[in-house]
Parts: sequence; structure tokens; C-alpha cells
Amino acid sequence: MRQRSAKEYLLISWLVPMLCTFVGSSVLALGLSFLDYSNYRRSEHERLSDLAPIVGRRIVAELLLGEQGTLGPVVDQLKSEYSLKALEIHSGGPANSGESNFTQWKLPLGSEEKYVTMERGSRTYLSFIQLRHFWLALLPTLLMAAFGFLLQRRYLRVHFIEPIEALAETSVGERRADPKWPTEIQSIAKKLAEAFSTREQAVFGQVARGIIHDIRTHLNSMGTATQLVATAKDVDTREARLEKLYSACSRNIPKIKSIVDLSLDSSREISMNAELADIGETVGQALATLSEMAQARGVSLEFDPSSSLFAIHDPVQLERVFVNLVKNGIEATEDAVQRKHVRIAVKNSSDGVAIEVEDSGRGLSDTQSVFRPLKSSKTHGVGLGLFVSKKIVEAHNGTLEPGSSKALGGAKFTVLLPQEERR
Amino acid sequence: MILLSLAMAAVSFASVEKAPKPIAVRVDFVEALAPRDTTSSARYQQSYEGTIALGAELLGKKLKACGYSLDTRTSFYDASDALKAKEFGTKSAEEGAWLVVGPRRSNHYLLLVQGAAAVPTASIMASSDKVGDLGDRHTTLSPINSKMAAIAAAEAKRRTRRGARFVSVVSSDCSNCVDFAKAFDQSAVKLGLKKAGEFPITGETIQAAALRDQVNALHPDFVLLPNYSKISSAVMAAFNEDSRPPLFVGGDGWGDSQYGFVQNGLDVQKVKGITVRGFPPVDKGLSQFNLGREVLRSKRKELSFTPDLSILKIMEEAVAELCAVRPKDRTAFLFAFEKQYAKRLEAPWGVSVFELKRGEIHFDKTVRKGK
Repeated sequence: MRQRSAKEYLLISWLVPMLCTFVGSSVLALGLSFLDYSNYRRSEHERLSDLAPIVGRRIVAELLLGEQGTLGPVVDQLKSEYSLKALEIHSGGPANSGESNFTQWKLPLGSEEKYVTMERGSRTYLSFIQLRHFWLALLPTLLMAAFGFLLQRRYLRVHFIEPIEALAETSVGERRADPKWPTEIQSIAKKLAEAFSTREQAVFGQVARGIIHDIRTHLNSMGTATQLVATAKDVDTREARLEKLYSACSRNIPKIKSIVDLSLDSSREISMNAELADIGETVGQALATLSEMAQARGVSLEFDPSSSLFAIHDPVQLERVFVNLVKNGIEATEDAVQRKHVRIAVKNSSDGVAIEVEDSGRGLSDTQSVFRPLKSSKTHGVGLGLFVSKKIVEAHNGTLEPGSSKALGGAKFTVLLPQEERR
Repeated sequence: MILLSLAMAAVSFASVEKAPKPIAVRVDFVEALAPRDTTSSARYQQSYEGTIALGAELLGKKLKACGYSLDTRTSFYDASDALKAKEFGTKSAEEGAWLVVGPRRSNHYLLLVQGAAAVPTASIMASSDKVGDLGDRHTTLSPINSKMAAIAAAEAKRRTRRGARFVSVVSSDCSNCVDFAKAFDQSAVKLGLKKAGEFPITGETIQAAALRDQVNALHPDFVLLPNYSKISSAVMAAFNEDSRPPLFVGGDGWGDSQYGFVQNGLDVQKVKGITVRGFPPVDKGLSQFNLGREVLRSKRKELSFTPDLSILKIMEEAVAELCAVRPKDRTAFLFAFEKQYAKRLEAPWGVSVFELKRGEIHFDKTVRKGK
């Protein structure tokens, strides 16, 4: 069924009564015409009955005058004068007596038996359909149209359409319900505003937790590096670990900034800094961030760096995507009894570069809602990770598709980035 | 003295007892009134009845002296129902009328005669040739059509040219008009006039402009238009804007200034025509017989309708006949009527020619030629 706007429905609610009025009025007009026609037939029959003696006497006068008279022209004149289709003088008994179109009269000619038969004019029903009747039909239609237009313009539009349109603004707290609105819409607006307020507060809390959680991931990475520096037993080892710490800080601080920026406003346009880079290296960076976490949880990460491919992308943003996906995989395998395994593969396909992240977890129960913000199947999840990841991938003109891993039996996410055209 | 007085009273009583009772002479007047006719019916009826009353009053003494009293009955009927004329004629005959004064329309009068065949009748205006064939018991005060048509044809020739072409436009549902047109055609042939075409019309609604074009296409010198005034004026008005409209020749239907005159209809200012009538203007007609002159002298009533002339003339001649013959009953009157009276009533005023100029009809002359 075709979707229609409220305005279209209002237009239909205007057109349909108008059409019904026109059809009804037209039927009425045709009825009036038929009434005229019936009256004509009845009055015509009465007229002919009244006319019969008059016409008959004039004919008798002409017959009596014989050659001195003007029977032929008088008959013609009578036909014309009284709008008769036929006028005949005949001997013998009455004919056509059963037909309403005919009237007969015996001429008073003494012993001679002669009759005059008159046939009324042959006006048909169609000749009674008059324009004025259709004006009667059109007038109520026009009145209905005008009334409907005024009703919609002055009443429905002001009191229904505009308030409904304003509900969107009301629901996000940008506008308050107008006391002039219908009470039902005011009530809806009030409920929407309350729901928005509640949701806003919840979102605020979840976003804050999400930011903290994401930041913590990177801080943990830096904290582990710092701990390694602290536990170094010799100067060389310390120097080497300091170098790693510096590297970790340099890598993670912009990421933390990016997390904060993006998380504070998930609707913000992704700031891209794309370049032709090795996608395998970006995946490697993400795995480096999560290696300690995976190790701590007993999850094995499988990635073959030799399968790297070059693609134009923002390594910082896309690394975050891979961090999210791999991290989700690690967390999904937490409850796995047997093998805890996350596999990352970079493949070249006809559609572009595909990066598959699959795990041996319990899989996705609902692939439709995994990207909905603030929805998480994890105990401590915020529900922004996949949502943000999808936005980042789409900013690369790519797609992020959820699915099932046949090989590992858990979830599988496929990032498909368009193939870069070689210039 | 007493004896003398008694003797005188006895003589006087005897003379009163023996005075003959006036014989009532019933004269029925029957006339049709038609709203569509050239007449304003109400005015016409009023004048008609007034003229009968005036005639009866002026002739009363003379009639009484002759031993008669006049019993007039007047009947009017709708002109669209001509059969009424016959019914009134029958009724008058059955009720013992000595004389029936019949309607002016020829076909009505002919029907009246069918109902009152045994009673003397006289039409005040009927002019059909058939009326002339009815015999001495029935007559009309109008010259018959053939006579008027002959004079109309002669006048048309005189006012156009030798061998002039003409067309006729005739109401085919008007028996008198058709009658006049036939008579005219016969006279025209004798006078060397050439008929170029004939356009019969019916009813009172005509396509005048189309008719004009058809007529003009034949280039006639004159157009015979022997119809009643309404139709005649409609036809002539269509030619009013022509640069050189033909001459129009009418019968006895165009009317006069008081009586359904053509000029009362549409604009015929630029059209010229002639029409013949069986009567002169009323004043001229009145001056030609005794009762008429007495009416003029008395100034008791201003007569304006031509039939008034006929009514007075018929009444005068009827009284003259009664006083001369002294019939005792209707049969005796009928005998006398057939012998003399009818002759004296036949077209007493000859044929008058009128001219249509600048939208008005003027009396030109009276022609007394032939029967």
C-alpha cells in the first residue's frame, strides 16, 4: 500500500465528500429532469385531451366549408401551433386508444363518423436534461469544496497538521506544547517530552560510561606499558620499554581525543583523514592495543599480516572500528567453554577489500538491531561501539555487515571497503 | 253632456283596444372576437353593441309607426372556433330570427349560412367570392374579392409599369387571403402582369428576412400581400431597410388607423403600398346614407369601425323594407328580402383604394366600376 502524508489524507477527506456531493447532486438533477419529463408526459396528455375539442371543431369547420375552406394549411398550422407530431382525420372507430401519446376525438359531423387523432410532440427524456439542473448539482459541490477548503485551511491545518508536525520538535525538547492544540496532541507532546527527558538522562549516563570504558582500554594499554617500564631490571630494557610507552602514548592520546569527540556527539560527521595505507597494518595496530587484553582473558587472536592490502582509509578511525570488533569478539568468547578464538582476515574481493572479524562466541541472536545505538547484549556494554563503527565504515563509503561464522560458530562482522581505483 | 262624454269614452276605449300590437322583428347579430385579429376586441365589441343600440333608437319611431318593434340579440364568440358561427346560425333559425347579421370573416359567415340557410343573412364585411355565390337570401356589404382584386391589379399596374412582375406572399391558412390572391392572379393575367413567384406562409410566425431575400431574388415590381395586418406588417418591415423596396399591394386586411392598422406593428416607414377595401373611411361612408347622416348630425356616437357602417346600413334597409312591404311574418320578410333588400345591401360603397406612405395609410379614392 502506497504511503501517504497526513495532508494527502486530508485532501482525500476533502475530495471524497465533494465527489459524493457531486454524484448525489447529479442524481438529484437527473431526477429533477425526470420529474419534468413525467410532468410533461402527464400535462401533455391532459393538454391533448383539452385540445381535442378545440382542434376538432376547427377541423369540422374546415370540413364543412369543403372547397371553400383551407383544410390542409389549417391542419399544418394546428400541428405547428399546438406542437403536435401528427394530426390525422380518419373515418371509422378509434385507433391507438391505448397509447398515451395519442388522443382521439369524434368530430361532431352528425351522421358521418369521423375522428381526429392527435399525437403529442416527441420530446425525449434527454431533451429535459437542462443545464440549470446541473447548476443545482454543481452549486452544492462548489459549496462543499469551499467549505471543505476553509475547514482544512482554517481548522484542520491549524489544529491538527501543524501540531502534529510540531510534535517532532516537541519530542526533542525544542518546543513546548501549545495550549491551543487539541488535548490529545498536547498529551502526546507531553509524553514525548517526558520520554525524551528520561532517555536523554539515560543516554548521558551511558555515553559517559562508554567514554570511560573506551578510554580505559587505551589507558590500560598505556598503564601496562608504564608497568613494564617500572619493572624493568636494567637500563636498556627500561629504555626500550620507555620507547614503547612513548609510542603507546603517542598512538593512544589522539585516539582518546577522537573517542571523546565522537562519543559526545554520535551524530557528528566523522572527521576523515584518509590516506593510502596498508589495511593489514591498521588491523595490526588494533590487535596490538588488544593483545594484552586477549592474553589476560585467554583468547587467541589469529591474523596473518602477509594478507595485507592497501586501501584508502583513515587508519586512526578504522583502527577504532577494528578495536571495537575484535574487543567485542574477545568479550563474546568469554563464556566459551572450549576454544576462545578470534580470527581476523583481510581479503581482496570483486567488491573491494573485505576485513572479516569472527569469533567462537555464542553468535548474534538478532542481526537487525546490533547497530542500534545504546543497545548492547553485553553486561557492561554501552551500545555505542557498533553504532560508531558502522558510521566510521560508512564514512569510508563501505559497509559493515553482521553475520555468523561457520568456521568458528560465533559472530562474524565483515567490513567491506570499496577498492581504490589505480590512477 | 254626460251622454256625449260616455260616447267619446266608448269610442276612445274601442280605438285603444283595436290598435294593432307591433310585430316583433327579431334580428340576430353574430360576430367573432379574436385577440389575434386586427381588432382590439373589447373596443370593437363595445362599438358594435353601441352602434346596434344607436341604430335601434334612431329607427325606433319609424319602425313603430310601421307596426314593428325591433328585437335584437347579439352574440359574440371566439374567432378561433369558427364552428360557433354555424351553431349560432342554427340557433337563430330555430328561435325564429327574421334576419341574421353575420360575422365579417368570410369563412365564418359561410358556416353561419350553413346553420341558417333558411333565414336571410347579411355579412357586415365578408368578401370571399363564395359569398357572392350564396344566392339572394344571403349577401354581404363588402364588394367580393374578385371585384376588389381586379381594382387592386389595375392600381398596381398603373403605379408600376406595363407588364410588371409580381410575387405573392399569401397566408395559406386564411381562406379569404387565398381567395383574394386567386382573384388577383386572374385579373393580373388579363392586365398583362407577370407573376414571378408565390410564397405561401402559415401561422403568424414567419422568417421575414429569409422571405425578403427569396422575394428580392425574383426582382419583382410589386408584392401581393393580401393578408391580415400583423403578418403583412412583419413582411413589409423586413423590406424597410432596402434601398428600393418593391410596391406592396394588399387586400382588405391591412386595417385602417383605428382598426388594426399595419403601422401599429413594425416599422414600415420607408415602404410604399396600396390596399383596397370594401369601405371608405367611416365618415365618408356615413355621409352616403340617411341613417349615417343622422348619426353624423346627432353626434351621439363617434363611429370609428368600418363594421359600424354596415350595421347601420343593414338596419336602415331592414326598416325601409319592413315599412315598404309590411310583411306579417318571417316568411313574407324572406320573400321580400330575396327580391329587393339583398340587392340594396350589396356593396353600397364601391371599392376604396388606400395608400401606404411614410408608415401611414391614407384614403386615396373610391372606385365604383362593375358589380
